[in-house]
Amino acid sequence: MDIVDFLRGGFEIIVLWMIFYQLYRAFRESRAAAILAGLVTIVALGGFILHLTGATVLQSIAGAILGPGTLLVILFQPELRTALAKLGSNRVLAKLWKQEENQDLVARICDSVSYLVSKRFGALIAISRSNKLSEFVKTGTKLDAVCSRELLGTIFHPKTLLHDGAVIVNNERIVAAGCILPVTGRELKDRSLGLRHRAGIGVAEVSDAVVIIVSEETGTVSLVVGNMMQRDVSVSMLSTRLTELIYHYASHEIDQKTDAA
Amino acid sequence: MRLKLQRYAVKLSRNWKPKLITLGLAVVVWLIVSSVNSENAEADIDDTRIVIPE
Repeated sequence: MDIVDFLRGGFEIIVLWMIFYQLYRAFRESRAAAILAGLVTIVALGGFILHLTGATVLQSIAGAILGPGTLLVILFQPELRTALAKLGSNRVLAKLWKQEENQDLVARICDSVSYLVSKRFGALIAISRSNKLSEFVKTGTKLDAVCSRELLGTIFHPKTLLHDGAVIVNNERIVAAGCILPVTGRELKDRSLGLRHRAGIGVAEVSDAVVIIVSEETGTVSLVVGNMMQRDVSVSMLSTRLTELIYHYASHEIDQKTDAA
Repeated sequence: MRLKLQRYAVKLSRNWKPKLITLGLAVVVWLIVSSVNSENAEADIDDTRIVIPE
């Protein structure tokens, strides 16, 4: 074996390793991991035994079952669907396909915020972008619901169990409510900013999420992205900014009307 | 540079079990596929032999 063959073999093994490891990472939190492990064991053991014994008829039957990949499609149907959904939510593809839905999301959020302001309900909504905020989703109550005024109004009603935490919106759906977000450790000039604002600033510091905060005391709306906070945002301004920040993701530098620090 | 390598080593050693298992699987799959390929190549050579009738 010359050096070129050796390097080619090494390269092929590394590529295979990366593929297997990424598959493992994608499937580890689902039932598919166990199915995959079972399938690998059966195929490896079966292949080994068939190869040793030279049972040609059994070999061709096994090949006919596994060959077309039908079994894999049946076994991994939910995962394939999830993978396709993930592919579909890719930012580039989302720009091609999801313009209308994103704008619809913005409209629904603005409608909800308008309702929350009118009712003077405090609210904290984090809309994820490339960072899916999964570590904070775990701290709350998981949901998978379409964003609507009725739902957000119910969640943030002061007499409900979930009203104290944050709502996380991921891929245009409310994925969790009552989430605990990290509170910023920064010294804030404005003393009127409470814990809800501190949590909103905190999550924006550690992720690229767009955070909307409705103050319970003043009924004002604040928008936080990165290190910048825009206060007293009107609903029409919120709609414009959200469209820019969520749909036109590239331009996510928020105008510095008021610096939180 | 050394610190960078150390950091990389720490990163690589994290979650080492699945990494090792998947590496082993990759090696096994590669060995099986390459042996099957070489068998097929040999068979192709056998098929192309010119048999001279006696």
